[in-house]
Amino acid sequence: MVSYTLRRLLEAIPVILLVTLIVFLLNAAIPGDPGRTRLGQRADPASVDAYNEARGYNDPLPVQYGRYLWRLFTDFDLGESDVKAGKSVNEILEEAFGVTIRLAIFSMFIALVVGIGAGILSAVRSRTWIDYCSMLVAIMGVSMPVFWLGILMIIYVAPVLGLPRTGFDDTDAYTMFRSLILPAAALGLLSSATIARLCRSAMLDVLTQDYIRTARSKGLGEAVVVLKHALKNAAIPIVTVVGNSFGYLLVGAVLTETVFALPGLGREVVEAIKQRDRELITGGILLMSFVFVGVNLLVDLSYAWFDPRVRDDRN
Amino acid sequence: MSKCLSWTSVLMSWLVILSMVAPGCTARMESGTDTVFEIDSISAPHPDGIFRIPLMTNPPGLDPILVSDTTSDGVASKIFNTLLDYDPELKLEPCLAVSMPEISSDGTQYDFTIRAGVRFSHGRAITAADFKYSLQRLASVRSKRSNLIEPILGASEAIESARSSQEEAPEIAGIEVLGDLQLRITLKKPYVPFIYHLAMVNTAVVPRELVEQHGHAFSRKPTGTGPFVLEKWKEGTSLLLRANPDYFEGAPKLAGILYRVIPEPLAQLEEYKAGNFEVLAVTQGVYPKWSRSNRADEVLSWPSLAVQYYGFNLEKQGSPYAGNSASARKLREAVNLSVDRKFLAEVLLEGRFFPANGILPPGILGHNADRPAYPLDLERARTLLAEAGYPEGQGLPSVDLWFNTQGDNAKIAQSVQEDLRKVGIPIGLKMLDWAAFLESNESGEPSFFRLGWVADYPDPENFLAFLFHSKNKGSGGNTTFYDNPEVDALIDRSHAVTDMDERIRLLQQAESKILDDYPWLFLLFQSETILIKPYVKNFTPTRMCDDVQGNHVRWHLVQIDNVGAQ
Repeated sequence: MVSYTLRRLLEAIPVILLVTLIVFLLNAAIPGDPGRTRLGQRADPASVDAYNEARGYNDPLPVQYGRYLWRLFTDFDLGESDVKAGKSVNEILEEAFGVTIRLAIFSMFIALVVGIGAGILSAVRSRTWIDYCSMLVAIMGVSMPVFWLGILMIIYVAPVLGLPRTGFDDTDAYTMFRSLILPAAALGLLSSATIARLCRSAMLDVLTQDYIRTARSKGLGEAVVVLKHALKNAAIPIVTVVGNSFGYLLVGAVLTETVFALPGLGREVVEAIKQRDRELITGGILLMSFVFVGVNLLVDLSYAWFDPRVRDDRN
Repeated sequence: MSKCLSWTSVLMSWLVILSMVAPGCTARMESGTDTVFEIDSISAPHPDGIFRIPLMTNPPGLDPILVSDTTSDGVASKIFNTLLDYDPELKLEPCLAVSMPEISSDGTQYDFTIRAGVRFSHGRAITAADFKYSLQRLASVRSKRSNLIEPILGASEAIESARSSQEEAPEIAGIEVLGDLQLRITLKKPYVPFIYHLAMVNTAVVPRELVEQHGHAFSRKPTGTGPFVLEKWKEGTSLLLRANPDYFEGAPKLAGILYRVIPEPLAQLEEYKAGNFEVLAVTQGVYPKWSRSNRADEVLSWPSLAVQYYGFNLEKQGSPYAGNSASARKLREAVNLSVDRKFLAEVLLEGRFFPANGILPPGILGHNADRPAYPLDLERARTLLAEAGYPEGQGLPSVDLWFNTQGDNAKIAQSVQEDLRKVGIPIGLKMLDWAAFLESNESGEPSFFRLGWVADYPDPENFLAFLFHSKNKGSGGNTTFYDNPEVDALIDRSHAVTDMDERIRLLQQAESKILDDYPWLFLLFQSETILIKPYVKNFTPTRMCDDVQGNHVRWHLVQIDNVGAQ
């Protein structure tokens, strides 16, 4: 298990390097001069050139790339933002990721509780009104764009519950919790729909297996049968989806962050792309790659816990 | 199961329709022939007297030499002061200077006396040396507006030296400290519009010791002499400015200003309705409804110093609209006569714009109010098209109209495309993001493109020199590549003329010559429209205000009237 983990970690290094290279090439390929974008329509060409020169954007791409890698591996320095004057990319990403990780954990919690709960209920009460209602809500959840659900929540839910409509306030745990409820619910409900549908079908498969019949015939209670024996064996496809969803929540919550005015990672990177903030684009995408590689690794490792046969195969 | 699914589909369709309609379901009251909307909007001032303003984006930086966007400009101008400022009629008046400068007879020397006793918010009194330092910083490689000091004697050399050495600029000979509170600025040659530069936030005074102490981080810990002081900045979330009790014009009536960054306009509107903002920028759909509602008194509009246009690239090879030939000029005139600006302004853009009658918008010195807006004259347009060699548009090649992805640009472009099609002028549409658009445009790639211009200062020179002088072709700002020696000469002559009437006459002549050449499809002038709570007093925007930030508003006088709160 340890060697497997180490091997996966080592495999991540070329992935990350490749990501930095691709981002560098894309930054160079997309139209839009960083100096002109930052200094604006009114800046004279000499100022634009001086700006690019000062930041090394006039150097050949291999030189820029080498300099970036050197800074990255010697000091873990991701550079200084072009747009946010006086802020380092490390600082910006640290702040943004802090918001996003809280949002992702909170929304994943909602997604798991609602999704697995609804999935189990639908499977156990298959073809009853409970099943139909759960799946109706799930279909609605899958179909709804998150920005639209978010706007509806801002207009109708926030005033009723007395919650803040927008913004992120981490003054203390309670205010932070209140400011994250609506965005986490909007994001989590969408993921919960996918999880519920998957959980239902996986559970339906498992519940017809012989070992479940055996467990019931031994006189085990229905709760033990469903939660201990059935759910654990239905978990692998769910874990795969949960892992991917969590990765997307961490990097792709840009619409939710925009609607609810949360200063998260997705919004930060999209803004950086619009502004051609090269250092922040590269740093942001690098961080996103780390997150994806890490989440996928955790998912793979968790397979072994859920299904020992996976571990045996690896050995 | 399929029955269940179809039932589900019907239910979902209804839910979708209901939820789309519901947000607009304010109650309606009939009042004569007009439908009046009843809008539920709370008027509740902040209990601590904080004025709350929404921002679409986080300000990139607040160091005056780095300010190049409207968001940073709006925040920084509440923290810093300049030598001069504008009165509500947009006349220059002294701010940190005791009086308007004494200008030498040859128009090159400006002598200022600085107000005594004005202090930075950290306590130190300002001196003339602070102004020298602050202006000199504009020459550094980090500066985004070094062009503002270029007219000063020795500035070009300092800027060049800083660029080549990538270090701080050497001293600029034309900025002299004559005493503790005496400052002299000497220009290379007379350049009358220079005085406006001294009212721009980029030339604001900063304390040297704090700039040197914080380095680049001064941009995030700004300290100035303004009516407000930055207290807290949560990146991407909010900025809190506290009133500066020692402000030299008197302590502000507000306790502070709270900016909150909310990128989504609908979410901003909901916060405004919930009583969480004092002001709101009006976006699509809001103005017609609010102006015919029980909350119509919250709508505030004023004409701004801005123009929107579609430019023809006059040097584009292969474009039928390029060049000075009679045929190309007639084609450009035909385009100008084919567009229904009234429809654009009143219907498509809900009355927030009005048809342009030239380059200079109302409020700019030299605006010609007697000139009618460009008419819609399809007959004349067809005649011109035929005279240009393209009867009913036969044989006229299609060119693309380039525009950037922002606001109403796409729908205006579609409407113009349809108008032109009616007379036989074919155009395609090409949409790019701002960065890519800007780069292509200044390289001269598009034949036909959309741009706008908002005044840096209320002088016609700011429009005409930047957008039409041949020395500014391409990346200098003249992206139509307009080249008319007579116009150049008139603009150049105006730089040295101190008699305002004479200057304006010269610049009006230049504008008339440009209009005769039709380098643009002259489109629209703009009104700024905001919502503002009725309990806010003394918020009197000038035409230089281009959003809710209220640039050049007397912020120390703005007040929240709690008595009027509902």
